[in-house]
Amino acid sequence: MIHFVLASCLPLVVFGGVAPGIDPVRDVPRQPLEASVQRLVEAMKFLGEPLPDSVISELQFLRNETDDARVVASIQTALDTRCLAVVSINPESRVKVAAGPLTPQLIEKGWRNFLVKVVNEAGVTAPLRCNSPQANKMVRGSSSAAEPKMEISPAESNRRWLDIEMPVQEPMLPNLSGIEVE
Amino acid sequence: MLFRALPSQSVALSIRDHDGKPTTCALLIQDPQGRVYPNPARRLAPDFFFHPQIYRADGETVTLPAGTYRITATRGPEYLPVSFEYAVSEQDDAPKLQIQLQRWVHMANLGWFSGDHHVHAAGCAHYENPTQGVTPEDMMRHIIGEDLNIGCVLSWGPCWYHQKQFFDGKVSKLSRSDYLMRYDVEVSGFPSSHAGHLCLLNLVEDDYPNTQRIEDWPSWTVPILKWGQSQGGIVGYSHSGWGLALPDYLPDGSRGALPGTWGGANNKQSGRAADRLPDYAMPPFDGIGANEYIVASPLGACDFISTVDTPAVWELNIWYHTLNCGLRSRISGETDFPCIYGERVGLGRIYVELDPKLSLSYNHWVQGLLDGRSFVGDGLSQLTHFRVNDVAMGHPGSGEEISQLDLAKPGKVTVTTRVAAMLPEKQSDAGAAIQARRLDEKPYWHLERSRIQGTRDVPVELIVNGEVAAKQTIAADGNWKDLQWEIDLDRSSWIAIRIFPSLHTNPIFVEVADRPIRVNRRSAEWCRRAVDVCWEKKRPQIREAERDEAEQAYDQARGYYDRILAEIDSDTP
Repeated sequence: MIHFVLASCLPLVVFGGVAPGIDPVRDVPRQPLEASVQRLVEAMKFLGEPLPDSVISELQFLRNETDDARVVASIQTALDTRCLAVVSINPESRVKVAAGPLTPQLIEKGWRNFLVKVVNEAGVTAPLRCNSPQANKMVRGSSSAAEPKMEISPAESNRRWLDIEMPVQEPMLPNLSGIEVE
Repeated sequence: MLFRALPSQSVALSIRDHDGKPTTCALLIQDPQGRVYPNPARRLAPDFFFHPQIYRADGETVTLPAGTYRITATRGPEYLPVSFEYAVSEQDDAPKLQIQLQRWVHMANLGWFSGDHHVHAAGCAHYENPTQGVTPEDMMRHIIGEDLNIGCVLSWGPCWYHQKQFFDGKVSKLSRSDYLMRYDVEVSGFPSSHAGHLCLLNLVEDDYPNTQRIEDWPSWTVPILKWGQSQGGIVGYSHSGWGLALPDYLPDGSRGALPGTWGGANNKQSGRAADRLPDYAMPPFDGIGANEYIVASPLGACDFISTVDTPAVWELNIWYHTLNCGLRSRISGETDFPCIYGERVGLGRIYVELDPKLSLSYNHWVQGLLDGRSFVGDGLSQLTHFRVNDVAMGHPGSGEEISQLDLAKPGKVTVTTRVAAMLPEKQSDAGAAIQARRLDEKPYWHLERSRIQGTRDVPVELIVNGEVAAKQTIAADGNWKDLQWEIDLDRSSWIAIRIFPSLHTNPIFVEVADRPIRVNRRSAEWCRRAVDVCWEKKRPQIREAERDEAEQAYDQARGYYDRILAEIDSDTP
């Protein structure tokens, strides 16, 4: 199970089924969306899992288009199918999460990079955090106790097989930007 | 959400030593993004989660997803790092990786066997869940992977009651002919810790008499050292420099504030870290290093003090002063893994010379430590054949006295040795950063600090009575250099070789006209005053019931140094 949490909001953590199909969010200013997508493209390249050439070409093509509404919708269409999850924040800052269209596939002992679409109706600018019971620390460091308590048993440790990192270093940003979709 | 995980490749490893024999080494595996494999956050022993590297033996495997990697193989400081690109393909059903290791020096072949007398299997960077530290098998893997001939795994406060099950008063059954491991004790996290932590080696019994719990042990160190010696143990103080900090030098040459407890500039009156030996400034004696050593050594209760894991000047200063007062406790080298250094076992080490006719045994090795037939350091510089006239370090000399040369009258002696060192031809940015650091910042001992700026050369210093008597420069190119000095000795003296701060030998003692070593009044006064400073700091933490006995021991030490002062000729410096 994976949880998404807004660091400064009341967390409402849901993994409630699969998003049946992601409708593009229409009322989004083009410029900040384009800028965030450009950061995403660079970040995926840096992380060793660049977006496919077809997606890059489509995004490049859209940069020269003049119909802002169509560009905003098309950017989302190009990326939505690559989203593992869709996080929705309603105007009251309540959060819900649904599975995205991407097949959730990992690699043993390796890293995979996934996109998460955030529909941010509240304009929240808190950090988005992702966690999971399986991603908790496998071990408890030394407390220097001569007889330490057993709180993470070997069996429990083995259940903690997952590691999650949210790339927040440049070109990505540590916080949500507050725009309607990113 | 249910994830499906695609299998990665199991890469079969062929790891060959310099002579083609299978061995174990350290592997650092990184992808082009710099991510380390296996992921440290998901490691359990034998892979340590606080390491980037892992240790694998020939014939073992490592699981890697398809991709390209930069792999660096190392095996301790006697080897040259081997670095290469390696690609794992999805199409390859049985990927193989061959690694050929390369040495620049092979000390064991020359009769010198490396050891680290202070590593831990629990506490500090180790975990206490899901298990209480790691197992002897895990420690043995790391010892072999760092080409450490002797690994002394010391149980101590953290996880004491679990880890002590591995102590049996013998060399571990996991040992091999050329790599030995023994479990012993560090008295740390015990009531006496305030006076200095203790390494007790070669013990038969690991519980102090009439104790059930850690809390029952003595609250000062001398009784524990004596108990260790009484059972045939070899005993000394750990991480000697702690509590023995020395004040900075200010730009005008005056002394400023003490640095931080663990080194590094203090905010007030900081300048250049203390860099001269001997240093006659008085340390605070407020830490867990060789503090009560100033009392234990004249009582004959301390066989060695530890070096290489705290600032070199702090460690060596107290030792030099006591040598100047005729005492003969030796130095040994340690890492205090994974506390002071978690990087690897054997980062700080001692090399002990053994009789080439005998196979490696722990008893012979620890006897060599006791006899001072040894040098300490980071392993990046090496030494053999240290002699004064015909007396070799750690061997029987005049009158069969170990390491002692007797001269009928003052005169010339000839000092000889062979030295080799290895630095990259050109200093890397990392090397330059090490050299630029204060001497009390990590790594405290490192050959890069010795590099003569803009060259590959390092100075080899001849130390007489704590002062540099002569110096020669060698190229740190891995080749052995024969060195020789002729020096005049006008009185009884101790002589050592050092490459500061990378290598330091134990002394050879020269007694002239049957006079014991009494170097100067200043060292004797320093030691005498140090006993008082130490007593003031330690007394409040010694149990009332033990305080009289402790005070008597401190008085004995005062008496020793007072006698030295009385014996020193009034015309000595």
